[in-house]
Amino acid sequence: MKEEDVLTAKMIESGELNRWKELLRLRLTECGWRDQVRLLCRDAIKQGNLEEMTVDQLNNEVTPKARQLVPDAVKIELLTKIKTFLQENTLQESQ
Amino acid sequence: MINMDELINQLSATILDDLIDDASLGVIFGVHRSNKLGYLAIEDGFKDNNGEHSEGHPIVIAPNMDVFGQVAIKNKQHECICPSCNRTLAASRFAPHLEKCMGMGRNSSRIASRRIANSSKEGNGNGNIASGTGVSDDDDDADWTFGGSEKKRKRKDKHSTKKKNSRVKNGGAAASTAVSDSAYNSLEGNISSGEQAAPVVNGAPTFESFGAAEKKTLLLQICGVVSEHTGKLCTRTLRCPQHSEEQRRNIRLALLGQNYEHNQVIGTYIKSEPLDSDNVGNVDVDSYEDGDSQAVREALTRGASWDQATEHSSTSSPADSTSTTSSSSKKPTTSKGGKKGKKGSKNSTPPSSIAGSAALEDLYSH
Repeated sequence: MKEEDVLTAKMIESGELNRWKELLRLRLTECGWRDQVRLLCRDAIKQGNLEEMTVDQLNNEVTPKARQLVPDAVKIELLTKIKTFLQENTLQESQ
Repeated sequence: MINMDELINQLSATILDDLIDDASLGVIFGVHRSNKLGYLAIEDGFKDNNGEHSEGHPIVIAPNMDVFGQVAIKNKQHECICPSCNRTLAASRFAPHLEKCMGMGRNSSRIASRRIANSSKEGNGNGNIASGTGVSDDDDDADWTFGGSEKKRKRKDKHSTKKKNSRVKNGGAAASTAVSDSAYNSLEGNISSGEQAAPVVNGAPTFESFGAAEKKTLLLQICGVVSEHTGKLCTRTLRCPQHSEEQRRNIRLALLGQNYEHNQVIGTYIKSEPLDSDNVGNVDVDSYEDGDSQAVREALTRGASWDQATEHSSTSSPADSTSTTSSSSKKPTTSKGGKKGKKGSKNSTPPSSIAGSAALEDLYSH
């Protein structure tokens, strides 16, 4: 667990996490995932009460569907990036 | 090591999930906000009770139609291919193009003959004029009547352009509406006699090619002020209302050289005008000597024919003659001339002293 924390710290400090975030956002917008999720949200709002919809409710409803909607290519791309980063770091650590 | 890999995989999966959650959270925030602020409902557009979008302007998506349902390309013309030059043309432009392209029709033959004339003039201007031997029959005819046909054509052109103010510099005899037939003929007589000897630009005599005498005679009959936009001489009469006497004098000074005496040639009545410092030294304003009478009379008689018509009207209406036209009365009557000046009337050139005094009597009677 300590290692994880250390790793996370490294990720954030080096700015790697931010870079991944931006990359993901870019890819998701390109592939249209963003618009799909938006539609999901709007539908969810229309179904429920318009006024009561809080962020949490929306979140709970929409997020699992959104996760599914992410195209595989994007996932794989990001995964590889993360893995390489982790491997480098853990290797260094172990050394 | 395997553990490591598995760990790494798991880790990266969780990290990825977190990233995706972040992204979706961002979207959700945006949607929620717009919903709260009321933007969300707008996105779908306004819907009437019918369910149509906004007052019966449905968005149309169909081939060949734009968004409003109108036919997209209006007035699409049939395109034709010209048989002779093989160009694609719009149907409405096809007929006139055919006329010019194939050479059948009145206009096209006119244009073609004019083109030939222009090119042949240029060619002959450089080389020999009469080159008749060994040429085909048609060319022979053309050569034989070359001078005549050219003159005829020129006359025809002059007459056709009579209504326009044609340029003096390029057009030889200008045939403006103000110049009547007699002046026109005299001009033509002057110019056409001199033109064949003179250098020719574009088949027409140029102003610069005239001798000094011809320039003078020309400037005696027309206003001559250079117009700003076209750069050509104004071909209206000497009393042209658009230009002042000052401008005419300047032009004449510029064109005829410093030795020229403005008042002598035109007979300007200078006393009524303010003297400028740029007057050349030998322009003797107030003197009228006997030697000058010859030149003045020459000038006056030339303008006589067309001026006679205008003279009486000018004297009887001093009001409108206060405009830019110059008075060209003779000098001996200086006192009377003074009164004339005060009245501001500027008469046109009186053909003789008798008529002049008659005019003066008219003035006095008013």
